[in-house]
Amino acid sequence: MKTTLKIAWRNIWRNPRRSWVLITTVVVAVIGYVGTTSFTRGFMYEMVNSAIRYYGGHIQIIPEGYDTKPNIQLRLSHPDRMAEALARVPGIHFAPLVTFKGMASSSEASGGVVINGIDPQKERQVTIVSEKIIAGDYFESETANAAVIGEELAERLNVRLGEKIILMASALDQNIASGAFRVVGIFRTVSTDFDRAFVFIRLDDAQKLIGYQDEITAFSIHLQQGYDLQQTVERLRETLPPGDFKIQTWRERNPVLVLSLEVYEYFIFLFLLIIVTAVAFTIVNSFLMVIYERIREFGVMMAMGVLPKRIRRMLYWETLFLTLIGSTVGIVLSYLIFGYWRRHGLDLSATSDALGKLGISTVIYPEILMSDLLIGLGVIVSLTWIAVLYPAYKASRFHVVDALNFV
Amino acid sequence: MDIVQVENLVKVYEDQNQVPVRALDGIDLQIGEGEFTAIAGPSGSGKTTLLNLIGGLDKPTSGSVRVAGQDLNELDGNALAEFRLRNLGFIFQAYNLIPVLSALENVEFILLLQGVPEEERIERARQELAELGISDDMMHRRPSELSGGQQQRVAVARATVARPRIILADEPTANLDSKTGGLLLDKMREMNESRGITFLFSTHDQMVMERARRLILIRDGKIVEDRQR
Repeated sequence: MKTTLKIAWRNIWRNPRRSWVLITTVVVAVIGYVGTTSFTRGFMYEMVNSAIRYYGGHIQIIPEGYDTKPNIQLRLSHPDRMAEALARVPGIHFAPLVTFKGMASSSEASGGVVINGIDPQKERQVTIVSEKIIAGDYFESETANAAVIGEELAERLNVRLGEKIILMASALDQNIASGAFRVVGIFRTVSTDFDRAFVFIRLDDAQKLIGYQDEITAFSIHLQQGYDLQQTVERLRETLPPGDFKIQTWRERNPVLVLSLEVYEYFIFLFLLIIVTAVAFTIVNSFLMVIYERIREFGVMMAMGVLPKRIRRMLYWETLFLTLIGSTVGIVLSYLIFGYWRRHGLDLSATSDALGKLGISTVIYPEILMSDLLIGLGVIVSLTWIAVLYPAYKASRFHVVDALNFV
Repeated sequence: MDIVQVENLVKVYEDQNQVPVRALDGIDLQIGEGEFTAIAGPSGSGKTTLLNLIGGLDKPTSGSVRVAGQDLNELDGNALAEFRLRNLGFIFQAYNLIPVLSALENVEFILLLQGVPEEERIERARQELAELGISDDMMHRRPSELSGGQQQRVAVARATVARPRIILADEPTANLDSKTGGLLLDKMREMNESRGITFLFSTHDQMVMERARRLILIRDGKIVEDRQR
């Protein structure tokens, strides 16, 4: 084995230029794969992050049936009792939410919105809208009937900080309820749609507007770092008092997003296969040249008594060495290149409109996962190994005399 | 005792135009153990073909070849490789050393294939090379760093180190100048005498014919003369 390895290692340096071309091919493939994978992962992470940090946290507790037919008639009664139980669950922050569709209008324009009644202090721990305020504040003043709206909506309604808007919605008693709210804060998130669609008011104002007593629509729950989603769901099931409610994770709440994530996973693997197939063909081509150049040498070895399987093994090792060198260099360079962007982010503000529509940040932080590297390495090594099977088989099937006489 | 027994050996090739060519035409031959024999003849006479068949590198169209009592027709590819490894040594006109191995490693390689332990391998390879006049310094050089004569000496060492029953040498001096070739032949003859290794040459080099103790002349695939010297 040692000598086979030694011969294989030295063989790859017989024609350094060709070996470096092969190694460079693998390096480029690895960098391409790591780059695509890490940016796709960063993109996926941003989408998930947006879904969680802007739209109700990791988990929501909602009335039974609300997910299929959202309706203000469906509400959680006695939220205090539920809040007491939630306080006993470790690793979570939770915030009450009253949410309903309505209309926002100013003296100049109007439009459909989603009105979210929140407890600002608790909401800060669950969503990050409070961090996105670009004018005014996030319910810090005692202003009555305060509203925080998105920049897009403010532009659409042509209202500025301190001006009033009218919010209208269908109340619990089926009548149209309305109220005047003063804009105390304007936010700008990564999503222009979000900034156009959402209006935040205090929880009690929202309850008053639609005729709720102390009822709420949902509890939004944010999971602290290190706590498992499914385990927390189980814990919630055990802890919460029985009632007509449903525990819904962000995955259940966003089936389209989950489907997109799965499609991205397939895309990553497909991309890997395409890259590696290209590398594999390069390797087949190069190794066919290699064996063509060494036919006579293989003939001598076989004449001496070297078994064909040993010749095949030698070529497998040569491929493995080339692939491993290429992969190692590729991974190191990938870490250097994408590691920089991982720390500083890649600013894609040139495409901010498109990304904004998708509701994700214009700065993408590539995610380099060890599992992706291992899968990539495994596929590259396996496929190149498979690729060299044919040249190796060919090399081991030469007729000794023909090989010895080959000029 | 005969180390090689060839009976009614026929080898028919097809040339480029698919026309059958009778390279060997019913050869009968016995080579005794310890002989130093040359098969000579003009180009295309069939001497290399005969050597290839005796070496188990090729299969005859008909007839049989027994080497060290083993009928080579009975062995499949792997068994033939194993048989060659244990019983035969080869020396080629173009030396054919493994270019990525040093002289020492080239000689050691065949012992490795035979499963000889590392320490013994190195020792035997060194001794063999030293006997053929390869210095310690040269032992660690790769073939490309050696002269033709030095490479052929390494090739001889590679063939003899494995202690084969017979060494088949195909035009071993054809690429060497007469002085180097002569010295190498003398060395091989010395090994033949001291160790009793059987040498069978295919050649049209006068020097080899002069040193051979038995000369077999072959023409058009037939033995036309077989004389002891």
